[in-house]
Amino acid sequence: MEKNLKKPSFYRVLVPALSGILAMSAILSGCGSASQSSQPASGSDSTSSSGGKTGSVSKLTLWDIQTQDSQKLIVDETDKFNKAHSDIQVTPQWFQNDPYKDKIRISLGAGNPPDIFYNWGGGPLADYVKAGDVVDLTSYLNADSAYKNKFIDSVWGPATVDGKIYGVPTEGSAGELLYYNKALFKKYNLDPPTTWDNLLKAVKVLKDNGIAPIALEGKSQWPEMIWVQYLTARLGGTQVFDKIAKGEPGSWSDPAILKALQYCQQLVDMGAFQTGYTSLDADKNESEPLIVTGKAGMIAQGSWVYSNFQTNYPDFVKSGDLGYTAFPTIDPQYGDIAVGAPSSYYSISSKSKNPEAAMTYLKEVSLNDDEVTAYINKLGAIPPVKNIDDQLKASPTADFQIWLHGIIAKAPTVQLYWDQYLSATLAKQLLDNISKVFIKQETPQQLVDNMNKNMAAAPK
Amino acid sequence: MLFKRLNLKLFLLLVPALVFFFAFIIYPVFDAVYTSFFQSDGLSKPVWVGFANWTSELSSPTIYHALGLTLLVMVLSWAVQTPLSLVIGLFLSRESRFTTVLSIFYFTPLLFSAAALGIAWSYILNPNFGLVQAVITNILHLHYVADLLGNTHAVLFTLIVIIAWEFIPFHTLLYQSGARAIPVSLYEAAQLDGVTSWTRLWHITIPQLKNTIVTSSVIMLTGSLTYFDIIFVLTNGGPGDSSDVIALEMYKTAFQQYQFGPGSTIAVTMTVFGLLLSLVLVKTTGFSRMESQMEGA
Repeated sequence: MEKNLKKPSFYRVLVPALSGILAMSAILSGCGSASQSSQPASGSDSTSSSGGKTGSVSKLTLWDIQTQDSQKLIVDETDKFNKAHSDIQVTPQWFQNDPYKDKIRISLGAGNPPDIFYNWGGGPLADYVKAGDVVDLTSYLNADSAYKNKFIDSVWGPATVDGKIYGVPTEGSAGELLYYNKALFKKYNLDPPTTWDNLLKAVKVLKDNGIAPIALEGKSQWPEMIWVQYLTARLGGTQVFDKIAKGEPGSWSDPAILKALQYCQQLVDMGAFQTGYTSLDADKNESEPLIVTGKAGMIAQGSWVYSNFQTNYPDFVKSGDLGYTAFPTIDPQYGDIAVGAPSSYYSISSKSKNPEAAMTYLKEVSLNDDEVTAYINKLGAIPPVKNIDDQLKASPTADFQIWLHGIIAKAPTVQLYWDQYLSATLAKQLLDNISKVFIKQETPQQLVDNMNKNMAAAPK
Repeated sequence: MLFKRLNLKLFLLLVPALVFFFAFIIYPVFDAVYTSFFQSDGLSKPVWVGFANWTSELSSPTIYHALGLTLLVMVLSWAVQTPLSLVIGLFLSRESRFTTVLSIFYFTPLLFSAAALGIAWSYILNPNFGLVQAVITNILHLHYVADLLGNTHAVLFTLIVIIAWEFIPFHTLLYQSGARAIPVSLYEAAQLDGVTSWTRLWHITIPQLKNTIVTSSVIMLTGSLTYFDIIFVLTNGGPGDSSDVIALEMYKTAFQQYQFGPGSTIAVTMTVFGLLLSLVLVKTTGFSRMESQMEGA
């Protein structure tokens, strides 16, 4: 055995093999310090001093989840900005919606986030702020009141944590509403589902005629929450959830929540949702064709779905068969509460080397005049800025935009989506419980008890 | 004695495997054990909470529900896959051009990624526009909606069938090579004695395949214990919690609710369970004693 050690041939093979394996494991375990790729490594670009720089250029990275036309718009506007500023260069990077939620959280937690990141405000942003990962923008905004006052006042709510503002708006307003197939309603002589009684009547009649009354994407869970949240607001106003958002112990026990869940189970008992709704996925846009083909009569969804109808079924939209209305009223005093979001946000991470440069970019690019115009005319959206009525009127999809703008502007309060108010942990627990109530694995009372318990156990 | 055996050369040859083993198995396991004693949301500094995660997870009905479903998947997967793999493997072990062509087609599911398979199946089973529904409506002319993934009672069995469809080819491959390794002389001797084909199967083939059966079963059972991808893509544990197996519950806890402490607790529990399972299987079947299966031994 020992004499084998003298054999050079063995080492001639072994040493390269070993070094190759070691290099491979180094790459695999993510410490590829020698990666010389021309692609900027995500997030690390901002923290490393760039080689061969002329003067001092701040290189900033931006993470966003926009797709298609809105993504192109941001890329174009960013290019313009980079040409105009030799000392600030911003590189946007794009991610898919669902994986992004994990990615941003983990990169913030691990301390290598991008300079500017997209978020939805609300509970998750508050989580980041509590961990000290986000720059407080209040002083920047107060120093430039012209910029701050360009936006509608309600836009700052979701980006505000403990009275300080941590994000600037970047996208159009959205609201949740009820779409319905007008042709079906005409055929069966039904009134538009503007009140709960009308809706129940429509459910009965459509069901009797072998049509699924309501389309619902149960696999995605949050479409079920649209029903629970709107019914709660329609039965008990916004104060019900305000208590929950403040974290008051036992606040899930409000009778309005219990009743809202019972209403949902009543719909389930009536067979209101299409067969197989539990396996339908909102990310795959599987419900629009049900409405378009007349297989289902109604769907409660976000205003962003309108552009899907517009893009994929232009003839259906043109024919005027796509009806839309605010969520049906129950108690008139709570009839005009809207559920939606004034915008989504860009925030600056505390790890950014140059927050001033990032702020300069945000002020000049995010929802600047060009973007506002494009959002209105090309994307059919409603940017959260003041005095856009005339521009909306000139848009190709003016009817829907003006209607939605009216709903959101008229609402005494626009309530943010529940799962955006709550911490990520509570939000997921709520969604899981709601989906169990819909398939009757759980009673409304059990959901209430579980959520009270979860809230008490949540880390403060 | 040990040092004499483990000379430098042998040690050097072991290094690459050891590096991988420590980096990708030992270190993550210990890291998970360590994390299970903290409250960690991935953002703030982790807080030491001692055994709080363990007491809360091990008293949680959700976990026992998930463990129950996992056991069901394990037992049923084994019961469905083993006989089928064995039969098909024996059939394909015969030498003929026909079986070669069949094998090539038959092993294709092995080549696809599980996530892609999941998406394909979700389209096949879609109750509104799917292939299965189209067959029921247009060919069988039945007024019946097959909601195989949306029905709380059917979903787990649907998943077990899909998982079986995915993995039977792999186990078939094991049985095929196992069957080809059985010495022909045994069958020749049996033929001289004039035994029936049933007796041949029962007294020669199955005993000779004992090690293959154990290997295949260990892979099957530990694989089912940690099975995740197709269930995640197809149902995400739903409807409600009807298909919420333990691996999915771990993922949900850690990466959807951002509770890395309890998530790690479930992960460690799964690891221990898997190790015990493999140990018990290997010990009770005498597989570890490496008994020779050959004639005249």
